[in-house]
Amino acid sequence: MLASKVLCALVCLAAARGQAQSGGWRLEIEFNGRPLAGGGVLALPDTLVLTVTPQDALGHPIPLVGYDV
Amino acid sequence: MKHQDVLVATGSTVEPRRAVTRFVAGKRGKTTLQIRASGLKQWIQVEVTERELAITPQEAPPDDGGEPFATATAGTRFSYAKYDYTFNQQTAIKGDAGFIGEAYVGLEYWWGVVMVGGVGFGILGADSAGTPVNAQLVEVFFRMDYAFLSGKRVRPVVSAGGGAYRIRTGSGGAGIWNTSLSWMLGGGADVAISPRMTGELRVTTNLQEELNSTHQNGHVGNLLVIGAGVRFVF
Repeated sequence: MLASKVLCALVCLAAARGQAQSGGWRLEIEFNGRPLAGGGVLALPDTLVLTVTPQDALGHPIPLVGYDV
Repeated sequence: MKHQDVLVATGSTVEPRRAVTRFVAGKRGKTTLQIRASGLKQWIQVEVTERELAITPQEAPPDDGGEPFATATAGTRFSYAKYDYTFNQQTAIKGDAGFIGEAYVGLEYWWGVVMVGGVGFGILGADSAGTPVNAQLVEVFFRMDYAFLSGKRVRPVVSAGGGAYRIRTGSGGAGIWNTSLSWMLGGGADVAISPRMTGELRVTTNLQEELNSTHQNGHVGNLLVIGAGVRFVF
């Protein structure tokens, strides 16, 4: 079971790396529930919450692996 | 300032298809986050000011890895001016109050120094042997401001500079008629309005000299200038 999850993660990671070059896959990122695309301003003091969702070219979530900030 | 001082991560939650990371603002400044997940990367520029946190997505990592050494700036200022005209120890003409408007461009350095060059135009009142007249002022100047407490919203500022000026009450050479160099010294405060806009409050004294006349050289007059303006960085 664990081996299959690891294998799935590796396959997804490899696929994502390949697709990243084509621009089809992307990281959908929101800050405090708002899309990152246009940027924005938060009044202080406030907590910045980033939500990261990898997506395929059709906008479907794909498995998240190797998350790092 | 270390970049991790600008934004402090307080925790992350990683789920099978998404991750959530929480941050709190630290010191005033600018930094770039790099987010990696599933083989993809995204960069986010974050700038923390006294009151706000600005977020801008980036398509590429910063080439210098941090805050720029200097940033282009431009601004404008409008001032009340009190003119004291004492050229050649004459007593027939007395300076009076007026207004000066100016615009400038330059560089704003990250450690609090702003160096600009600009032009100014003013109308100053004067009394010529009992007759009210207007003196027209044109200035070209260089100015350096230094702001203390660069991390604060309100920052005390000292200011110094110099330039060339022309002040005239008419076109015939009578009355006030000087074209030469001037110096200025003063201070005030910068007030952070937004990440890219700063308000300026200044009180300065401008010393006008006559250095290149074939008739008479010497101190021309003093301007007490009290002004407010805005400055933008790009």
